[in-house]
Amino acid sequence: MTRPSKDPATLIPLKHSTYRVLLALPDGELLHGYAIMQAVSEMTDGRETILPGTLYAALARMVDAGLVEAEEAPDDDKSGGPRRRYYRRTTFGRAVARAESERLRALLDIAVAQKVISGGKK
Amino acid sequence: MSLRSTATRIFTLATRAFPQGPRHDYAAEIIEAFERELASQLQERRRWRALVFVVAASLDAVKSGLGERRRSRRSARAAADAYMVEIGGRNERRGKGMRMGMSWLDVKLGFRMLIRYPGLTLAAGLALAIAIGIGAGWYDLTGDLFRPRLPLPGGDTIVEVEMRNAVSSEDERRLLHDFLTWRQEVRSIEDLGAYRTLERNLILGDARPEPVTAAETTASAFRLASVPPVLGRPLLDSDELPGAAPVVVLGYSVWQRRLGGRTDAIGQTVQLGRITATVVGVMPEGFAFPVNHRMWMPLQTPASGYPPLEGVPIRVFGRLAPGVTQAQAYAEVTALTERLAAASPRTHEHLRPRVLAYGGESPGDRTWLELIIKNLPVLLVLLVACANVGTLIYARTATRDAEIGMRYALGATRGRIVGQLFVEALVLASVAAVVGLAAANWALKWGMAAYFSGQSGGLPFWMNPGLKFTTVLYATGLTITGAAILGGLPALKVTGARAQAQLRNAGTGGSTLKFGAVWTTAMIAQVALTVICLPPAMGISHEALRDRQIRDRFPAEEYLTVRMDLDREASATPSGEESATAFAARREATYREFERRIAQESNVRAVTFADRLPGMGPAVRRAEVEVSAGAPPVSIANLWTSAVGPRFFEAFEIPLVSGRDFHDGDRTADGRTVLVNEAFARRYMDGASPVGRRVRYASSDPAAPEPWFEIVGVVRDIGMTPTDLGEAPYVFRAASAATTYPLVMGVRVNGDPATLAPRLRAIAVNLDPGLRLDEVRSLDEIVWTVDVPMVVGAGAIVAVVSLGLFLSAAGIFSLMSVSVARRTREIGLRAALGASQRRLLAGIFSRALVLIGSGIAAGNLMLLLIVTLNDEIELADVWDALLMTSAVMLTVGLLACLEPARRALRIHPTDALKQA
Repeated sequence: MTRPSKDPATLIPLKHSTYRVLLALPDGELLHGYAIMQAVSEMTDGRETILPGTLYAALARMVDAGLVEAEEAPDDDKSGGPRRRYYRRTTFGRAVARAESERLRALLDIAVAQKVISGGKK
Repeated sequence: MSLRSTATRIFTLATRAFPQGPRHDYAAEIIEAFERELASQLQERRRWRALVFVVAASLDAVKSGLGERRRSRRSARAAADAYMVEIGGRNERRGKGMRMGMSWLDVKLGFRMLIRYPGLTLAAGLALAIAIGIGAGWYDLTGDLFRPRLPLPGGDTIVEVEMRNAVSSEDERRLLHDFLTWRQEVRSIEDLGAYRTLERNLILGDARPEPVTAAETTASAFRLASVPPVLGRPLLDSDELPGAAPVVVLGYSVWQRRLGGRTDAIGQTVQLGRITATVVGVMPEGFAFPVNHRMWMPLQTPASGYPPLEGVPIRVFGRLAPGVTQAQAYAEVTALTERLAAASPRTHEHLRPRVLAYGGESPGDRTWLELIIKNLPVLLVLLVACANVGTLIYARTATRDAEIGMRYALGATRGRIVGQLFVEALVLASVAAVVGLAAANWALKWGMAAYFSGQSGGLPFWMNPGLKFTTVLYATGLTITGAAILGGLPALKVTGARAQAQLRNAGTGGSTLKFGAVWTTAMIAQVALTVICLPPAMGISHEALRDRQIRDRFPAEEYLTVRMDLDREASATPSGEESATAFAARREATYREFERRIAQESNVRAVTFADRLPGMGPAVRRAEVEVSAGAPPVSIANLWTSAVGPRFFEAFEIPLVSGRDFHDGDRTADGRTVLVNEAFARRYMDGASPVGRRVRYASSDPAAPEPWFEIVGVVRDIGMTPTDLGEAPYVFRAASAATTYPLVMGVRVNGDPATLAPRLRAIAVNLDPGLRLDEVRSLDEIVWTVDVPMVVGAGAIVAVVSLGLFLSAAGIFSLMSVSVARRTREIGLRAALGASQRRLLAGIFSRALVLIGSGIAAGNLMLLLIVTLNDEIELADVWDALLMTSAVMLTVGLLACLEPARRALRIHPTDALKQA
């Protein structure tokens, strides 16, 4: 298993799937896999989806890297079906998400400066 | 089957692309997520979108799964390396990987292998050390032989010009006439100079005289060497002129030792034998140009020049002009010599010049011959050693197939495994190379010191005893080549496409690799080679031992030996020296007086001289002897000869058996008498007395035969020249001190001969300052010096052949071990089915017996072929050796089978069945 890295910069740039999963997990909340799929779709108004294979491959890597942590289902889980795991973004995962966001914002600033896009908030 | 369940099955199948671990952890969740999304799509009645989702999700699962497999393989490799570190005894982080699939970890493992297989390390390491040691030593020696690196500015452009007689194949050194012509006319060689070597007694006041190796040289030697003196000046052209005041330039060691390094040495006069010369300069430490000289005097040449082939013998040197090659210089000197030959055919008809790299034998720019002589023997020795050691390494590799299989399973590539085995072999070869180089270094230093100790002046200045840096680089190349053959080739074979499949199944019982035809053939060749080498090794060691024992019986420790010679007087002859007749008379008189004074010393029992004393190296000539009156003479290939002075036989206590001793009349130029020893009479006279018969040396020119000598007496064998047929046949001639070269005195003393040495020097300097004594040593010491190469050579041959025998045994042992390991299951099952031990062993070891038998048969056949082709060896002579060698080889081979046999018989049927 890969040892969790303490320096977020070592994981930058992130894979697109990893970044989306990190953003789909709000601070402190526990989500199961399907909920993460839905969260990704919702936060992008359905423009982006993540398929189960990509999602779980990303989750496996992220658990190894310490970006998310997995927990067994809480006792009050009423979803039915097989016992599932829930995932929570770690503090380190949050730091990595911020580092990646800053990298992307820097690129966005360049695009704005070059008038590739307008600078106003969409 | 509903669409939903079909879609789930397809997706579940796609998730099998994930490796087992993640699939086990996440499959349920991933399928649940898929089903929930599919259900959501179907609930909204978007069937086409649902179908697209199923296809996309399935493809995505395959793609992600394969990605996870790659990641998993990388992790497994890291884990395998961590495991190897752990079993390597240290839990260190893996170092940065080397190129071509090698890592420092492999180096560590290589060292662990050396310790884990001590027998193989010893045998293989020793063989490689010998091969690399011999290779490096040979390369170093031939480097000095062909093209020595002169430690002088532009040393590679300095050449020597020689003249060789094409008929006699001997060097012609009386070149003063040619030298003066070359100096005037040759343009391709600059600073052309000449020198001759002299020994001169350096006498300072009452201090003990010391013979010093001096060069009588042209001043151009100093221009050519471009080394300034530390004091005063070098020799100048004006010093060469006839009538110039005698001057001398001293070497640093002579200046330090004899003049205490005084800076006011310049201008002092010193006695050089019979000449008084003024010191004009001191050269820096280490300067010994032209060869090993410690003192330099001008070579004076008369303005009138010399007739062809007259004057003192000299050697000629010079520096190639800028841009001129050795070949161009050779062409110019050859053209000039042809012109001289046309003008003076009597002297120059058969003379051929040679322009050689200074101090070496290289006839020009690098030639193929030079390269082949330098490298081919080395590579052959290495190849033989590698073939020997290769069988052992291959056998070890074959027993490690389970480990190699595990590495495959953990994801190691073929390159990685080949790299590991190569590095392991490299570690072994490197350790062997260090040992081999250290041994070669010691042997070269010792050998050079021993070789040059007998020559005045010692080592030439360009020779540094010990290995050169380039030799170490060369040995590094040999080591890597050896490792590539030893580690790389077996590794490529065991990781070949066919072997990989077997390796992946390793662990299901026994070893899977075979001892293939190549290695089996190599082992048969090795056994055959050992069989061939055993008889000569036994013969040589027996001979060396016998010779030492025989010589030990002679009381050589009672004799002091000394080489004596006399300086020539300067005179007005064409050569500038006294005439030969005058010098011979003076030499005779001086010796007689010297002998008389020595005999007066209280502890001296006898004094005599000869050109060589008993036990010194032999002088062997071809000859013919009159066996009976009227019969044609019998040819003798090797007749030992010695020229002996008066009372020689008394001094060495050799009694006269028949006839008479020499008298003074035999020592004249017309004396045609000889004495022979009993061995001569036994071997050639068939019991008859040789007295009155005649003997003569063979002549190279049938038109001018050598004169006959009458045998006037027979003396008892001395016992100092043993041969296979007893004492060597000897012919003694009567010698006079006037004309005997070298003149070696033998003084028999009561007590330690070394105590007489200082007295001899004192007597000599009182008698004549030009009387030089050299190599003052006990005869015992000289006999040992002569015997050392024989003893060391015999020891080396015995060591190498013993190693060959050991390697053969180790090879057979390895073959059998592999064979038993491969057939564990079969042996166990056969034992379970009631096979007897005898049948089991016969089944397993028939191959070893065939191998040993084939090797012995091949070796014996080769031996018989050698005997058939060589007329001098009779089959009856080698028959015993042949039987004995075969018995030794068979015994060693069978002994090597013992341990594998024990292992085979201890295999329990249940163990074999467990592996099945």
